[in-house]
Amino acid sequence: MGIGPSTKETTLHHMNDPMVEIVRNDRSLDLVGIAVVGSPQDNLEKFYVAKRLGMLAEALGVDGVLIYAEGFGNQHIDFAAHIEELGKRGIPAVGLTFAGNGLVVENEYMEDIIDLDKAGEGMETEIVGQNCVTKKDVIKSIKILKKKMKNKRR
Amino acid sequence: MVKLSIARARSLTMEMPEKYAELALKNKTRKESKDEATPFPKEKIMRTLTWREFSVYDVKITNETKIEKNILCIDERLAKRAININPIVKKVTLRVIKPHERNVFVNSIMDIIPVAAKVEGKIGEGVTHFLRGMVVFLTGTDEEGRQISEFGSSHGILKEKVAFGMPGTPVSGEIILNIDVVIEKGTGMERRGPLAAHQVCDWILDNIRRELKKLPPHEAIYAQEFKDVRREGRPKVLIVKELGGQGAMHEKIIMPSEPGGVRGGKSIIDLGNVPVILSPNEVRDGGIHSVT
Repeated sequence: MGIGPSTKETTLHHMNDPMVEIVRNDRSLDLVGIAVVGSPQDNLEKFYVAKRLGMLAEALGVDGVLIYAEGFGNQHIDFAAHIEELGKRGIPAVGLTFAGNGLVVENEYMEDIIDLDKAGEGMETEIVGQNCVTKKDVIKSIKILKKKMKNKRR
Repeated sequence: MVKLSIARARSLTMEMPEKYAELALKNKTRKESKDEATPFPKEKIMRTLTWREFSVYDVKITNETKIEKNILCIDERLAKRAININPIVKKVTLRVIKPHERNVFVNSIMDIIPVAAKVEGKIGEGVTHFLRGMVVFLTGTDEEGRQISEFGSSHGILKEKVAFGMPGTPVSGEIILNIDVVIEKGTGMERRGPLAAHQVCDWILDNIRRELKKLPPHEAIYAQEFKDVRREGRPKVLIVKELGGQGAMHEKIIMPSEPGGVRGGKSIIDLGNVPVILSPNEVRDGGIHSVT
């Protein structure tokens, strides 16, 4: 498992990224930056990377994290590990990914995951760009994150 | 309680027990603190990126690379010369697919790349020229005819294999420049194979970028300033992009020299896959190149 045509993010996607565009223009949020994190091959390395991300979020003192992963299958091991590291530090996180037929791993911190499956087939459709993040998914995730951040402040 | 109404008064002295005064002051401060909860956000501009878009409505393959009167001409010899960039690449073919001709066969689509060039400054600030109306499709096979793909291949009829109008795909009216490469047999599943294809494609695009940089600002059809803004006092949000970093088709190039390019960037694998911070402008300006 890995990244198939329908979940891969092309160079054009990264430039047009709806997530970045919407969050940067939302006047009620302070976007600190975009952390780009790779998904390594080795399982131990996956947890190494996740720990670094947790420390980075802690050091930046962020109130919330929007995380999305391209691809599926073993990419979800890191995805779950990232959310766990953030959850341990009490940072609310909303995840977006192509869940397919369910995630391969789960943990207690993964409360809010948005599935990017557009075809409704739960599998790789081999159509380029079909199961990627759209504006609709982003607006949904921001709404959930704002609610979570509000609850945390109380 | 105390109630007082005055229509016209020159000087007025009011005396009351201390506890009433305290109460009155307390109410006042409470009201003030309520106002402070929603102040107007203080915006701090960190960096500015000037974005100019130029339109093309036709792409031709001729004997010279130039952009003239909204027509992009590409030198056919570039395809032959591009092979010298990396010995893994054996053959390069250029093809133009018009919007109404999408009923054609294409090899596995490796990437969709917009054409943009840096005129001033580095990625994320300065001036960028962007070519609107066309995108580049990088496709490829190896010498034995095997599609360059890892998990599911997107070869087939173009119309059926691309979800047009998504953030990462062109809209229905855009012209497609198809750069098709043939790489050494067996390298499709190694890291160097797909990377070589992207390097060759980037070299061809560099030739177009050189022309794009020359276009005068007044010919732009659209201009915008993107600002990296920090809003003090608002909840801080971090966006995390988890990208493939496993080698062979799972790789990203971070912060290349040209928007969406390969040259000058560092692979996320070489960076050890650890988190790297980019600014919103750097992402907008093509700071991430997919080698997926």
